[in-house]
Amino acid sequence: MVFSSLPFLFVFLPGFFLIYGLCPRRWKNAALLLGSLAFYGYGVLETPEYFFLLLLTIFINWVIGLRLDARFRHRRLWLVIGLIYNFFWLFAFKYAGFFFDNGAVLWRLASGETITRNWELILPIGISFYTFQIVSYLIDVYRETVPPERSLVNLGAYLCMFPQLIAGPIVQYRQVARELRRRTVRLPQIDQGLRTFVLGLGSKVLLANRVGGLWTDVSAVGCESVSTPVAWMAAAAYSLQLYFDFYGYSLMALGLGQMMGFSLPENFLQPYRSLSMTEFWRRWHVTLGSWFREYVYIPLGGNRCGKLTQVRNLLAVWLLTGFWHGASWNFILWGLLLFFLLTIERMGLRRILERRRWLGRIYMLLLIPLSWMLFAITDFQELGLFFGRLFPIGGPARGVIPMDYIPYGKLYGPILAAGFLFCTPLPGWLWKRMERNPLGIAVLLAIFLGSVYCLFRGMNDPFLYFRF
Amino acid sequence: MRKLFRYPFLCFMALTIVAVMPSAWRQLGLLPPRQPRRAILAEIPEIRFPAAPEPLPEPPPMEEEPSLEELPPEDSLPPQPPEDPFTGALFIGDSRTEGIRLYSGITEADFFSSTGMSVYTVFEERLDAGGLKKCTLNELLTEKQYQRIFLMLGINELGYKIEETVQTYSETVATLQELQPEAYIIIQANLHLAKKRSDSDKTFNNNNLNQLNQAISQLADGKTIFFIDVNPIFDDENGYLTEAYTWDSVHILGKYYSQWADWLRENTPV
Repeated sequence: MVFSSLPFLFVFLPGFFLIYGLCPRRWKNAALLLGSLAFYGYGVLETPEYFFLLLLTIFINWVIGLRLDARFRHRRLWLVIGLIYNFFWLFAFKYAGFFFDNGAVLWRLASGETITRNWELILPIGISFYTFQIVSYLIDVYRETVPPERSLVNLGAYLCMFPQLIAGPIVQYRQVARELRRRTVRLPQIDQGLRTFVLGLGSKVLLANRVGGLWTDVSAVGCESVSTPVAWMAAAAYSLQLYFDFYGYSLMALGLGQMMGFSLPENFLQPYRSLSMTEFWRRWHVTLGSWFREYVYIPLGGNRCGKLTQVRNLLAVWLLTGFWHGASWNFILWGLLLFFLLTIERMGLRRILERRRWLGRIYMLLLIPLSWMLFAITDFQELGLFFGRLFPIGGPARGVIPMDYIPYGKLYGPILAAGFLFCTPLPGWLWKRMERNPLGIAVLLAIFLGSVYCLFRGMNDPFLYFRF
Repeated sequence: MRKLFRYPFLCFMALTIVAVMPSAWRQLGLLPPRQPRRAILAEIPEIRFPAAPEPLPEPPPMEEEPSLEELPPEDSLPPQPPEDPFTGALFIGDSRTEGIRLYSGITEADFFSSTGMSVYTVFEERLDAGGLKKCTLNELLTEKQYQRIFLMLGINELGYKIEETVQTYSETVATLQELQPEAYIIIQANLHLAKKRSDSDKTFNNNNLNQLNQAISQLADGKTIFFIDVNPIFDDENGYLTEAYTWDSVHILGKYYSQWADWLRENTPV
């Protein structure tokens, strides 16, 4: 179930909070677990086996967590078993196809035989997120940072809680351990949580979905048939859509968590205001970066080793980060690009960018959309064509309408401008001044009603063509 | 409870959610709709309705589509394929026709097309067409005379019962003939969808499209109303839109519309 959808807003949420609110405290985690399982089950109705996989994962990790208690002798073995179990499913569903295809390519080069893959596995929803989350639990218990969770219900609630099950933030167990056991919610938190939720909803429905239309329009026409200004507009549109979509989702997760008494971690800290890629990746998808730092970079040695080893550690982290995003070569290339930029910045570029802020801004203004293009376009030929449109030094163009930036500009100019505006500090500054007074309430209600209206009109998701 | 009033935002949100919930439930099919579907359609044309719960009826028995060569010449002069089919022509259609307008290179014809257009909305929309600003189709056809009218609608109607759509289609064609008695009406078959979309969507798929195309081809009489099908040049061997020609499984890429125009130049019957 998508958060920005009528079933979620008007069926699941009211129903869930009614039951959750009426539950006595002892049963609240159970209600949360059952509600979240229902939420997940609805999302995987076509593939019910993934629901049972989730149940199995909770159970097995609970058992293993208990075995990782400090007193046990074979705890290291149990950790390995746990890691293998969890990563096995992630690997099988997400990466097996990729390795098979590439293996087939190598085989064809070596022996001339062509093997085609006739199986296609659909990724269980949320598996990239919940795998990382449960692995963080196992490692934290092993490191004795937290005691193992004795209650199966509590562990299940931690892993499955619907605000963050599908799209993060990746919550480390110790961040919510205390709240799982005991939390109180009063009206102020519900009020604040609901406000945050509405802001997230608006970010997704009113900003992300609208500006994303430009990217889908340009993709549908084919990048060879747009002019250079429009190609740049499309790249900007994609960058803005990605941000507001993911940011909106994270805000909604935070708000929902707050309404239940959980303080989930923030995932986005105004990333588009960064002056360097290093800063960007400390503000974008913060919980993913933290996970990699905590469980890959630091165990490999982190910053406490020679410069060359540090570079190696960074490379490992970025190859894995790229690969985590998708099982295809463009993601690996994207990870490599970021590794390259981060290394150069470490070697001194960053100091220059931060000292001359205008330089930093221009640098990021170019690199953000360009790096996202590598992320967005999976096929290398298409990528080449698109870059040929961005930098038209004799690249091919077929069927480009002259001055097409005028109709595109008229159609998408306002929403692009709004998107840029919301990346600046201005709206935040304004909001701080009005959130507590009646104007703030009016704005929130307007955002909510506007979003609901868009959902009714089916303009919810530009990828679902309701109008052809 | 009194404490709740100290949080006006919460009060308003609770009221709003309770107020909107019935409409949302109706939209989701959890409550019966308040009015018959067509009436709602008249107010908000772009809401997607869930597909009709009854199974679609059997398609009418397949008659042999009279191919143009086999038609016995009723008049002394059988209709001749034109040298230049686009001068004095009007295209009416949805976003695929918009694609033709923007990318095919056809400049001589007029276009009355918009994303989302359907037989249910074709006479209600106001568009810039044929040199007129924000005109309805009626106004355009009263102002200007065309030799041929290319009509391609159908995909936006797949959520409705096919009999209603075909009935409205036939009424549309009749109205066009009334307004432009000298013009030939050339109905184009709806473009197929690519496999990815067609196989995964219960409403928007090639089965339904083919059924609709079959039904509207019956409207052709070979004298003033004709039916042509461009799908063979874009289809793969299984009748799906070839993957390489599209990104979103629904529209062909911009660069291929010129092929459509060339095909029309060769295959416009009259």
